[in-house]
Amino acid sequence: MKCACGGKAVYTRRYSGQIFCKKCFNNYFERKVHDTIRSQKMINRLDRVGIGISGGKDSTVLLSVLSKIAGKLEITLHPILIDEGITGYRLSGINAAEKTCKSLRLNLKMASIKDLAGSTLDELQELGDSKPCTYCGVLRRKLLNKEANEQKLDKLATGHNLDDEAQAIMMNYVAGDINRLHRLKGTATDSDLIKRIKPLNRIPEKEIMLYALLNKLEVASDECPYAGENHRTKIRDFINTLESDQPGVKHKIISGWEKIIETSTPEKKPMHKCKICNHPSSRKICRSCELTEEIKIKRKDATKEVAD
Amino acid sequence: MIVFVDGKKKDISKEDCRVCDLLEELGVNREAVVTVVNGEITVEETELSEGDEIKIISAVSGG
Repeated sequence: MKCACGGKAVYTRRYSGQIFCKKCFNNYFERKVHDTIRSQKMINRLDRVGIGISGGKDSTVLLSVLSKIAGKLEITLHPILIDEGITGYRLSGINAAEKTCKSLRLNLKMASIKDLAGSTLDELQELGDSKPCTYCGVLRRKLLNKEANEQKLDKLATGHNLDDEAQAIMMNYVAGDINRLHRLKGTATDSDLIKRIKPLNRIPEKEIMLYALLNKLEVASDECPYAGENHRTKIRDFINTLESDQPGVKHKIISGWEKIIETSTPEKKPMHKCKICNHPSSRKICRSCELTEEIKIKRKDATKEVAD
Repeated sequence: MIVFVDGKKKDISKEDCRVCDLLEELGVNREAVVTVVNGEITVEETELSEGDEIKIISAVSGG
């Protein structure tokens, strides 16, 4: 099989019937990211754009492509890595992220969950009652926003892809949660909340992996030890089965969601400032402080038990 | 043929088939993987021959 240009085929995009060689695939991919940014009005000229980077394929590809089009968009890039403190997992991601940033001549800023919560994620999941993914998600979001504020960034880009978006939409459909469906749009409602953007949100995960492999990007592929079989995994497998039988389903899930949020109104929750950290939150005490306070009590109890 | 799924070697008796047939035989969803045949990334319609080395790399994130 050959690409339309005559080059050796590396990818058949089943949902459009197109066949790509490496060069044409790279051109398509980079143009698609650029078009997504433009059509969703994600970035303005002269924006300082933070990028949440983990060393995994999505954020590495995002950083790599944005660095290619940053000149055209007239933006600067500021990668941020959050070290969750997961033994045997995070180190390979840090190494990969450092190599990528060094090769792109970008300064990598690192922050850790331990600095914020006083414990690593490994310690939190030992001490606390919540699931490790709850601590990780809540504290990571808070840290990224904190870092972005400190660096006076205008936007915060993450590597969420089309599959992530389709899964999130489907999970909220199943739960009947219209408010969360609206929140996926990522509209910041407070000036202290840095606007989140997802420039890969129209690109399937498979194409992202393909781009990483074709361009020999330095990517960490270790699986998080806390990522087990969960609701999202089941939804992911279900959507991939549908996509395999009927190519284009993932894109249709997105376009269906866009129509639903256009024709429905979300419940408007007033925004407060967290009484503890002054961070914007829909609650009086933000979820991050709530978790951190809960851990402080658990830590005290554990120390007391040892002393007794 | 020699098949590796995420680095683990699998014994396969199937010969002279396409990559997509092999994936089906292994119960691997083609939407979730990238395939490398004899060191080169290739499309799933590629015909395989005896002695080919196939690497199936998962495209989905595990965390």
